[in-house]
Amino acid sequence: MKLKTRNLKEYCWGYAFVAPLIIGLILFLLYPLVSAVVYSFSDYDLFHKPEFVGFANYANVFKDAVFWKSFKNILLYSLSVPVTIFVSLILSVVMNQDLKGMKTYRLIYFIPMVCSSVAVMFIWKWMYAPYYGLLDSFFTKMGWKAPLFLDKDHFIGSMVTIALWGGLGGRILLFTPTLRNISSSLYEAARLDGAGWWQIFFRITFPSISPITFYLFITGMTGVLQEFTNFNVISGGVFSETTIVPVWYIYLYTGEYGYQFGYASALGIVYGLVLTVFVIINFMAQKWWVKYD
Amino acid sequence: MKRMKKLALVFAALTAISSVGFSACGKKEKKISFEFSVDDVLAEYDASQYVYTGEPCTVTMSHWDSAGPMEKATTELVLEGFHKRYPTIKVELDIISNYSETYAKTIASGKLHDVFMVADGEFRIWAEGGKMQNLTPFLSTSTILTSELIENDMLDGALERYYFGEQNTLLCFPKDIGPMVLYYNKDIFTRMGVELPPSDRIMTIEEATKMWKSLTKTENGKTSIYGLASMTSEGLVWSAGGDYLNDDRTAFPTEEADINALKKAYTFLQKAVCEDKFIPDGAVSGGLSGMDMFCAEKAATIVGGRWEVSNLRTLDFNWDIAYVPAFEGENMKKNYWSGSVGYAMFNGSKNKEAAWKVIEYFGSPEGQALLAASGFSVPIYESVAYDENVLEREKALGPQNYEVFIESAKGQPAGTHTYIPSQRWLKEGYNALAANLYALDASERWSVDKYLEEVKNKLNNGFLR
Repeated sequence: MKLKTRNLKEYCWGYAFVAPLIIGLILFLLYPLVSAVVYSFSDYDLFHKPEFVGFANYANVFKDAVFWKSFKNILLYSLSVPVTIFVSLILSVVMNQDLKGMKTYRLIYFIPMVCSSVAVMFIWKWMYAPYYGLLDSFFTKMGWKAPLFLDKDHFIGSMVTIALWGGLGGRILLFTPTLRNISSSLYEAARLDGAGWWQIFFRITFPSISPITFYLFITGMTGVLQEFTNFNVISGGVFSETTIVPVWYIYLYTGEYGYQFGYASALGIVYGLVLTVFVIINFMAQKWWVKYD
Repeated sequence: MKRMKKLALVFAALTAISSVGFSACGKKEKKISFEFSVDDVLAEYDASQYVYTGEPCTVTMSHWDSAGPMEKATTELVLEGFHKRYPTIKVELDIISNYSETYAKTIASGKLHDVFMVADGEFRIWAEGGKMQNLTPFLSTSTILTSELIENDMLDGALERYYFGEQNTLLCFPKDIGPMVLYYNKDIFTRMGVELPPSDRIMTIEEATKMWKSLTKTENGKTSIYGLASMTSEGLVWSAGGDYLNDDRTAFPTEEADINALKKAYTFLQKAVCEDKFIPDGAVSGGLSGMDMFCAEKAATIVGGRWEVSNLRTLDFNWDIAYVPAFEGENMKKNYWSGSVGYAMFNGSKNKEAAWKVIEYFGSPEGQALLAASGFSVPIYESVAYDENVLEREKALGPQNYEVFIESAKGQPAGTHTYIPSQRWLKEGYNALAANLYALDASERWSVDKYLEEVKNKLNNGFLR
């Protein structure tokens, strides 16, 4: 009897602790998701009753050239994720060598992580600015012609550079302890067998850190594919086919484009499905390169 | 079990401490004070006209603070005057961030404030929500907002943008009007030996082109100062006698006059950017806004709204204002657009009489005098705008040609953003495609005819929904 009462109490406490999360998920994820699916089949602008339109919104999504252009932009921008992971891995390996001053370097790389994202964007905007921007001044002093960092030919490249700069610290922070946890005996045995640096890296180091690499890749990609603020701030909110990204485009339909929540929902659902398929493919593909043991 | 309880207690304590901490942070807002008392302004008006015979009540009111703490302070200032005139009506003011987006959803929910603010850009689609009270019956019986006052004293265009539907129903009453003018850097004009633009008339585009060319400074192929930071096409198209859409705003215009005006306006802009180079190309200015360039003294002039003044007053160089140049002709006064916000009444309000008193007070000469005294906006009445005290104070703070604001407001209509509820036709149509007119590589550059043809294709294929 005593045991039963104790079990019941534990159950109650358990449910009490998870309740806020479950309620939050239902209210702020499940309910909006179901609503969005329902609205996506309707013509709904907030001010008139939704009218059922079947798959018309979805058909329009597939014909929407701007949406797919924005998708292309974000795919190009997402190249920043593997690039950042690769650079931070190399830097982590270097920093793992117990050389003098490595803690200071680690701190320097980590600083962008603790800065406000919008404030950082404004600083980059100033650095990229023609005439008085830091980079423009640097190029001019060196006697070179400064490129227009934010024109249509360089915009995505400039955004990738910002993502690279901002993304190193967090990744280095995760890679460093993982690298330290790799048993030194593995390295010693490899060296005794005559393995070179690259062999050691690809046969020991990389497999050992592949779970964290996979985690960083998936979270990095899903984060980048939902990017909006940085593009909006750097472009000064000016719409163009170079600066637009999917989430920004969807956002336009929930306001400036006449509160067309029906179509915005369809855009959101299609984009969400694309992201889901991307994540599923990556989870399926991980068995080829992620080693958990 | 005990450990879990302890954990829960610690979590709760941390939450409470952080909540107190954060709320304490929020209370550090700096209070804005004005150099005059509300009583001084009220003393100039007849107290007997403010009569309310209804029951004492509380009226709720929503407002944005997009212009920062100053906007909130000015609204509270007018409400202070209101409470002195109507002590039995209490107004509860809700300042809402991200107002346009948030309040659209509030309208959809049906739980509105008794009085709510509406920007002219959102007016049409919000009006379609059917939650706004017809104000005509209230206005027709008002002893303060008389037809004489509106016809003789109100600046043209302030009221007409708030009529809606086939019945032409008045659904909002304007609080202010924000005209657009040409801001210029006096120091650059002096350094370059260029004559200042006139303050008593609108310059023609031909005159202005000469001025802007003279102000542009180019050395070794690199332009260090542009004559004009940026200019959109509205004033050019309108003053040339045309418009962007057909009469019922359902398609690209078909009238020859409209198309010729569009050609004239965009030909001027293309030449200004690509040949004369006194306006920077969007790519050259990069992520910089025109105002950024003007403030950095990289452009001698810029077209901007009244709301830029508080920012410009902090600059180190001397500046003033002139009329936005336009094409010569009978439509010259339509040289740009003006912005405005107004107040609407919720048609489900239980305190309609009291709610009207709030709207009426903000729109009254006394309410406008309080707004003007705060220096925040251009009043909707000529008599208040030309008040000696207002003029003296505004001119002392800058700009010296303050009258240009008032006179500009008289002729400037509401902007293209008010044409139809969705802005897609502008953003993805006219604006986004315009980048092709200014392509740096001449071989990639579109002719104005091709540009207008492409815009027409977009607008007539679902972009005007």
